[in-house]
Amino acid sequence: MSDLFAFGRAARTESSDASYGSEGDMKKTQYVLQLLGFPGHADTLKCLITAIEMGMETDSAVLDILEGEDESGDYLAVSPLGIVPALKEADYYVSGESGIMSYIEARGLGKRLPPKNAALLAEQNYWSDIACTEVGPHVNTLVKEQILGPMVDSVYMVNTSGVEAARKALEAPLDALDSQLAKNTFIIGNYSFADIHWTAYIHLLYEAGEGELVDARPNIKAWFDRIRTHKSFSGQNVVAYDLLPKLADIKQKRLNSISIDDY
Amino acid sequence: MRGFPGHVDTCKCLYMAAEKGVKIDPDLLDLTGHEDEGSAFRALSPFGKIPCLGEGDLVTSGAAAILPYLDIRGGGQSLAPRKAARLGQQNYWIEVGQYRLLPHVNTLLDEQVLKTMGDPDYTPDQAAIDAALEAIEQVFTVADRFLDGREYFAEDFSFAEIHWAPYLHFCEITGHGDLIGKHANLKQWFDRVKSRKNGSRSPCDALPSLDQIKGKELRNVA
Repeated sequence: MSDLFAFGRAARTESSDASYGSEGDMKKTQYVLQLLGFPGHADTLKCLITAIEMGMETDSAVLDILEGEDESGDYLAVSPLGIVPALKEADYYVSGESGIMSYIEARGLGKRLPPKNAALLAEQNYWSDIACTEVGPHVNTLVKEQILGPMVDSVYMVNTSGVEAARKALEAPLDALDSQLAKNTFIIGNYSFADIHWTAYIHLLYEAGEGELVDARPNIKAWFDRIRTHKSFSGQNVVAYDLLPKLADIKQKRLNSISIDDY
Repeated sequence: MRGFPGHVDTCKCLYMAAEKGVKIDPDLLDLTGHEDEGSAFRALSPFGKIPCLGEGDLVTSGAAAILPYLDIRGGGQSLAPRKAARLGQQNYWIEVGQYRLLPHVNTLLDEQVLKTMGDPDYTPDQAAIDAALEAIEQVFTVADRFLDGREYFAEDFSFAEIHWAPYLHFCEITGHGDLIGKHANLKQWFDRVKSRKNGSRSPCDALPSLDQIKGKELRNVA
């Protein structure tokens, strides 16, 4: 397969490859990345944020996981275990948040995102791990129950006990993050991968109508206000938050592409 | 470091320490006695992440944090690839292991080793074991295909090997070596990893035997 967008909903996406360089403009990136994911999917959002922070032009298209496209033969040819999202650059393919985020970061512009200091690197990974294991599953439950379920079935019955359990389970990790942010501008001091992981989950909490969980914790709220205006880590004049899918985008299954103009 | 010999992430950290030549003084955290749920451990690791590592003022927990810490502390060249494509491959395979293998390897350990340590009369749940084996087989098949013509997951030895070798080791010591043996590329990869030397020792020797798990024996890594 030569194009990640050759099948499913993504086939309706116009690739910028055709127009790339048509006006004689030279860009620092050799290729435009292709990202195939879903707007209500936290891991897709993390990859999109990483690309923006690292100043990597990206064409995004939707893999309609609500229609089972992640289980299709076409997608399994790209990602044999069906791991979402998937990324392509030239003839290189990789899937899953961890592989994609690290690939984009290493390909990106400017200084490196992970700290060089061993203790800070451990702290970054600790908070990323807490996000993925203690927060992610419960945010996914809230997104499924309050956004995705009703998208699939107009008479969807929300599992209220599941929603309550998810809210309760989020209290401890959110309290821990709130304490951590009492002393730091970003989660470990400087902006890092930890902020990217948490941004995706906190953003989805707001979009799922669970902003109270965040607003009740002043340090997380203040941090997220900073995130909302944080210009890209690589120095480009673009704010990741502005390109994140909002509730209407999720419902319409829209995913923004990334265009970098100020090289 | 506080951990348990029958705990996969503890073993990844011991293996990394052996690979990078970092001296580790391990202390048993008895999971069969639920010590990880006690307030003393939770004061160190609030979310119960295992293992827990301390050095000087630093206290951190979980393999995700400890492994890169040991990689840097050990000095020398980092196990993380510098090239973006290899880094992406390394982390893809780590993620595959973490979410598609580890839960099923844990099922084998729980059902065949740990629960019988707590209760000698325990009868393993064969249906759960069979489901775990089926899931492991699916992932091994994909990994075997990928490893065709490759020495390691990310071209050179990397964090991916540190994650995957314990998965295969625990399959082997729980009596499921046939799962590995029927995948020629994966088996060659495992043999290659096991035969690596750091000085006169193989870092893979840091992985505990079945008897060491049953004896709750965590060895020093020097």
